[in-house]
Amino acid sequence: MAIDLTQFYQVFFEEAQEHLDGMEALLLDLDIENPDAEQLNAVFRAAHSIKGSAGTFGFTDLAEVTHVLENLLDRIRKGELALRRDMIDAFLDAGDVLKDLLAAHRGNGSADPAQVQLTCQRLVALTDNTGSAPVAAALASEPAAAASEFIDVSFALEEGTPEPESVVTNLLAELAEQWPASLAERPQDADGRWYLKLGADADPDVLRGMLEFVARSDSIRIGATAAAAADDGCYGFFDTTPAAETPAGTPADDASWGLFGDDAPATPAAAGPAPDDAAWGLFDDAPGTTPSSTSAAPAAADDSFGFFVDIQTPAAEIAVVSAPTPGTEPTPAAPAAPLAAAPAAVERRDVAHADRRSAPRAAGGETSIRVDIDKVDKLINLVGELVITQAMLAQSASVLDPIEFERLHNGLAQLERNTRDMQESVMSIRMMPISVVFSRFPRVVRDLAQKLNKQIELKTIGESTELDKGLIERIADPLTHLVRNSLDHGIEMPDDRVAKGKSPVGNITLKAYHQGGNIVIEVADDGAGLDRKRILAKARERGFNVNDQMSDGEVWQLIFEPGFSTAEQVTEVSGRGVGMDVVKRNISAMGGRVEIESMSGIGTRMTVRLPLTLAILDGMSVSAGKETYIIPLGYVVESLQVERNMIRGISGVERLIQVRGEFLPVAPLHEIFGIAGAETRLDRGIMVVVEADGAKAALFIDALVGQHQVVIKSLETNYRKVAGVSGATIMGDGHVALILDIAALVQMAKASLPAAA
Amino acid sequence: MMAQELSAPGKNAASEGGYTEEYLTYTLGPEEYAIDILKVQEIRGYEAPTTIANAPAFLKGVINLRGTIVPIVDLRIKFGVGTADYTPFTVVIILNLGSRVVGMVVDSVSDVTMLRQDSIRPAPEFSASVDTRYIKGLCTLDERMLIVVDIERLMLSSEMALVDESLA
Repeated sequence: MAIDLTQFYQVFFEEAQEHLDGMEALLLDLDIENPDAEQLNAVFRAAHSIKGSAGTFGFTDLAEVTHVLENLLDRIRKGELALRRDMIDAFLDAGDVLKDLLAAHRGNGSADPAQVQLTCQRLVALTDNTGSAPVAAALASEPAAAASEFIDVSFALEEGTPEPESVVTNLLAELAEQWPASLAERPQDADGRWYLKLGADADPDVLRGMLEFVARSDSIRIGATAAAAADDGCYGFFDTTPAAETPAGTPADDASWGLFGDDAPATPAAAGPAPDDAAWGLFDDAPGTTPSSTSAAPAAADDSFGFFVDIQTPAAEIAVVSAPTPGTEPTPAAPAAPLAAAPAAVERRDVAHADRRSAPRAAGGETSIRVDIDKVDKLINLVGELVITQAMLAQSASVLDPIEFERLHNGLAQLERNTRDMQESVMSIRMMPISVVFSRFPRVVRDLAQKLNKQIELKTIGESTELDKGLIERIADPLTHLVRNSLDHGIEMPDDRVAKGKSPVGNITLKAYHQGGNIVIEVADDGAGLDRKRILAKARERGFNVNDQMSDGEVWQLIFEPGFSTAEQVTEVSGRGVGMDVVKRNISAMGGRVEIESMSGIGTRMTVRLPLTLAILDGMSVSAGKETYIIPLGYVVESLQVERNMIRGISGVERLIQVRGEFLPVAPLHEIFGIAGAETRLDRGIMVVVEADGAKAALFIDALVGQHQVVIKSLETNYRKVAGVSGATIMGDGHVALILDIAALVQMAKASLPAAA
Repeated sequence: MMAQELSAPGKNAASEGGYTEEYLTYTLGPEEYAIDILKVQEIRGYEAPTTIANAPAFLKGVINLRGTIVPIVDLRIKFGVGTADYTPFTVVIILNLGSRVVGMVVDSVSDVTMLRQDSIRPAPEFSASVDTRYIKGLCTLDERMLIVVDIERLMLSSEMALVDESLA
């Protein structure tokens, strides 16, 4: 009946990762001068639960690092040490080390032991160096060392076991044959827990097997650390005086937390509440008024940290320690005691920790499932087929008499609604909030600002905006580039900013929102703005084809050219001219585009527009000759029919049209694609004005056909890339229509101008 | 009838020595070709494809094959044999070449035959419509000569321009 812990490893990894991320976010959010006690507590809890579960699963290296981390945090939390910037740095580094360790355990990457050692030393030094209670600090670091010497075991006997003393004595004798074993603690009453100390070499599986002869199997706790819970009711929690802590500060101090990760709610010795016990900081305002059992119940409930939601034992099993004063040995109380208190406590907890990531998880533990992304994609493809089939049916039925075939038409209308709903629901499976990407930026900005000696405030807006998972994964790198670029090139040094009459603290704003069928992500800064002259000068130097008449939009697009950088010196961060072109390429590959707005001295705003998904596109279908093409709606500015007097020729070739004073190059689709039988006279067909990469062009076609949502199919799966075409789709009649690559066509239109001249 | 023949490819166990495989034979002009039947996904009638801009003339375009976009190549135009007209009897052989699906238009599909591997003789340098690089060998069957083509190599070659150069 030994539990195979490995099956929980994955859960542990994920939870630990989540806690680390949460911890990092909280740390970055901390106000150093005036840290919010609640936030500190949240950081502490995160560290603590990592430690607890790491101990349980035997990842001692993780547990050790978190342990020293926690010591420092604990002292800050209690106000013994003032929070300083270097501490935050140390915490963040420790977080990185932990991530490395975690990755190493997962089997990807490796952790540098020297780095781990260094981080621990740094944390210990920080913990010690104010020295208000050096004894406690020294003691606190002890458990890690002592941890390997003993295993603590606790269990409760089967109910109604006759002569418990002799049973345990026999058990001890048996155990002692294999490992050093001693009795650590007797229970206070007949149903209480027994605590044993065993040599560290004891095999937990064998041990468990032996204990199960006499003990209730669900009560057996085998801790990897020296956790004489009974020795110490305070768990290092109480704001005790050093005097009180010294006797209690045996290895037991807080290493016992390794126990609770298991399925803590069932552990009777959850916590010894004391009047000044912060009970995990949950009840900062409460301890004085809350009965001790109440504050213990949430503590016990909280021990799981949303970790073992699945196996959480009913509240009835939460045994509570009624310990009026610190240092008193815990006494298992009647199981019923916390029942009444628990709901109230849970409610309080929810209020206090609405922002805690594990809280919603605990509530919705069973309501989500993990599904292989391939399965979802297959479903999306199938629904795509269904949409096409539905469109085909609708088209076939459209010629039928609406009165005679009323029921058929009604049925088809119903089918259309259902199909659309279904498509939306299926697409939403893949949708994720952009906060997944945004959450990495506080750290990026902080580190970079520090490196560059700039002061930056990062604001994020619209974090709950959802977009396709595939896009989420691919947008992260380009966005990081844009943010780094804003930070490095955009925001000026604090002195310069003050000289310009700005606040020394620069602002970078990340904003995401939906607009039409697109998701728009803005990276804005209030820095120096782009320098038109310098960009043009640089472009000439590089031999680009530029002139002073170019619109700002076109000039700004130059910075996306490969090898283009106006940074006067290459920094560690940027200036090598690689990056922005990659950003542009990556975003284009996703079917998106980047626009830049900039004002000298005011700031720069880069706007990334992406389709909501990679699978479906809002398109306008147009015809040229017998062919039908799809223009992605996002690129269309307007469509119009031109008069003769709007057409301007270059060297006798009609290549420009003048629309409201603006000259637009014409891209005749029939010419570019060599379509026979298409309208060739510019005043006969339709001009669709499109805009891509800051440049406009007029696409000349025969007629507009309609507007559709189309399912994007790749041409490259079975064929190859075609210039001017970004993909294909299947129309309602079953025919294939090509989706135009507007950016490429605009380029072609521009390129054909000098050739015609 | 054809479907029945296609659905019985299991009899390629050697009966009188030598290792036999099933081949689909088709004609292009005066020549008769054989291709490995395991590369054939299906045979269907010709439907007008969506033309692709600036593609070579032999690439007729792409069709929708149950939701997949499949390019159609007219081998008659590619090799300059036969007459490239499209009637209700024009057939398209849909090939499944590893990860790609490609359709090819031929004059007619003739038969499914068992060929013994040792009866396929290496081809001498001769002038068939198809480059000898893509010819596995020659085989005589009832007084007729079959040209055994490595269709996968041919279709994925750069001269068919079906694959991006970087991948070819």
